[in-house]
Amino acid sequence: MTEAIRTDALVKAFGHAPALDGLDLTVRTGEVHGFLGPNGAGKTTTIRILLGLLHADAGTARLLGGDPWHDATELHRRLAYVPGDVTLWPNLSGGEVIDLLGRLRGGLDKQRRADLLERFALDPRKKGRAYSKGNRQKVALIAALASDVELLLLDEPTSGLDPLMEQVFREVIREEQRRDGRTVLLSSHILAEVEALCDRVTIIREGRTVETGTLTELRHLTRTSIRAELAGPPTGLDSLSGVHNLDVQDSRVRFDADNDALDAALRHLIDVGVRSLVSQPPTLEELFLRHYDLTRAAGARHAEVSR
Amino acid sequence: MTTLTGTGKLVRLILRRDRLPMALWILVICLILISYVPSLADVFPTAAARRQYADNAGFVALYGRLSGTSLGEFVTWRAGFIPVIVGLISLLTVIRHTRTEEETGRRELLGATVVGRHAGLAAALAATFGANLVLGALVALGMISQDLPAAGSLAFGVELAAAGWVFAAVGAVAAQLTDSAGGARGIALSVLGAAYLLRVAGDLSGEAGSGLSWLSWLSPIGLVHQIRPYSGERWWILTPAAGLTALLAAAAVALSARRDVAPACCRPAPARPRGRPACARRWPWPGGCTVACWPAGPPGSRCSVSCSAVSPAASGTCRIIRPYRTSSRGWAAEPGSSTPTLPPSWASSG
Repeated sequence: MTEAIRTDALVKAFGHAPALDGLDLTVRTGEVHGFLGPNGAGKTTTIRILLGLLHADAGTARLLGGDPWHDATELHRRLAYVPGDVTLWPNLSGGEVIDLLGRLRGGLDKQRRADLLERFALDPRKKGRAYSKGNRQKVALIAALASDVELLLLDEPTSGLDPLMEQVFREVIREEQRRDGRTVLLSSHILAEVEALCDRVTIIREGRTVETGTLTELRHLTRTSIRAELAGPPTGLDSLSGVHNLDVQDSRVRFDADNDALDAALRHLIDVGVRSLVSQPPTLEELFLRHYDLTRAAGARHAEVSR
Repeated sequence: MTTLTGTGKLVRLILRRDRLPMALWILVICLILISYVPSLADVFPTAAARRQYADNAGFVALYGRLSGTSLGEFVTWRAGFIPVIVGLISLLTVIRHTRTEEETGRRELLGATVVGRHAGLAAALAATFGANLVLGALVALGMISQDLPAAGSLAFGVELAAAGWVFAAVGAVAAQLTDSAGGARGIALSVLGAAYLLRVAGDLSGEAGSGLSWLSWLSPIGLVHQIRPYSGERWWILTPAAGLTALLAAAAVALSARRDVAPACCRPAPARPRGRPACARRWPWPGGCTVACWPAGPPGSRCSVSCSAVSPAASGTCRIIRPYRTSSRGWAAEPGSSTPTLPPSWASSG
């Protein structure tokens, strides 16, 4: 089997509010798949359907070769899940919860549990009510990562973790990547995290799949924004293709560059002489805005043609 | 039955979480009941004294009707409110382990592991049924230890356990109906309250000799009273009590099967997208009174307003309640009425 997850035209509405509107998602076995979208795009709803917690209104979903709703109990032996907002039982210690979740899932690797506790610097003796959000998140993460499963469903797992712990999380996921056959679906709205970890990415918006592919394939969507202070006024930047939103004020310059135009643009700046330079990778928001512009432009063109 | 996979492990989790409160309420109720026996025997040694004590509408409402004057009958009569308390604890326990778990998202954490769709509900009911059974057994043993007849003691334990079972199942149904634990508690408590009031109505009517004493039989609380421990135990009452419990539990499972995790069977209407218009106001009024107005009607973009005028004289307040309507933009008198005028009573009532 080469596809760990496949959904086709998944539809789900909560009352009158549509959550998913024909969502397609394909995750290949053994890959780390980024699942990106702004708040309310339907990431969590999709994952809940994949977990058999919600029943889809229409469309099909396959998970590890089974039906997520009907075979839920069987499938759950083979997967682990970390919700984006973990609530623990107030009077159970973190260690108890990790063991409980492991037991309910059918056992967990003791050595790995100890190892992860140390790496995530979690005190398993504290009661659930005493943990901060980040620590509650760690409890669920350790329970999931220490269990021997084929598929990890992680719903914004780093929300609440400090940068140091985010780093640990990335390392651990990279190790997972090296272990054979482990598939990870990583939902996130942090592009950097997805860029660092994922083989392929699916971007959704308002319950629909907007883009899917490898990050390189999605590069056409991304622009880097550059702000520089130069030795003198630049010339000829506007003649370069792939440079957008150019704003020159004396020796200060701001522009957004397509990634394949970046090289030429920077050469141009260096020729003039660079005093300071700030380059910003495209944020997910920009990516969405950009995508939104593209689809709108395409829509307008389409309208013109049909006229 | 894959829908029940993992129920045992979840029961263990409930017992682990609740071991202290559960042990505590079971023991406290047991000790109270056991202490009743010597103290009531002491204070009311004769049949006449017991009958006289129980012949009181207030006590009939609170405890039910006295079936006989033996010590066992008197003790169970005096403990007539305990089934309500057991029912209350049971329904709260079930809701705490079902709807509260869903509301907090912990159910989702568990639902992603190897547990069946109905395991959570089944575990909450099983644990609560079990706790009630333990309570019943301990009460029976306690009563026997006080030299009360064994059959009656057993029936008394069964009466309490049955009350707990029925209302545990009521809690399970209520937990399916709303998406908040608070709402579920409201529904279940209303049912408990109604059951209690039905019994009161039936028992008072029975005491007065009018024909509505059958109302008690409609109430689960009244029903378990009809087991009549120490007074020719009516064991067959167990059948309707257990039947009602099974029916309610089955309804809860059926409702739960029809819905997703987290949302309720009945979806709540969308919540208000804006804050209420600020309605409460004060302004000076001719004659030195201050008129304070506050929203009184059902919330909406227009709100009906009650006004009261406070006199400056310290002697008291002059009050008028007069509905005005206001839109979110401004004030207007009730349609049809002219500019508000000071009623004559204000001047004099000060």
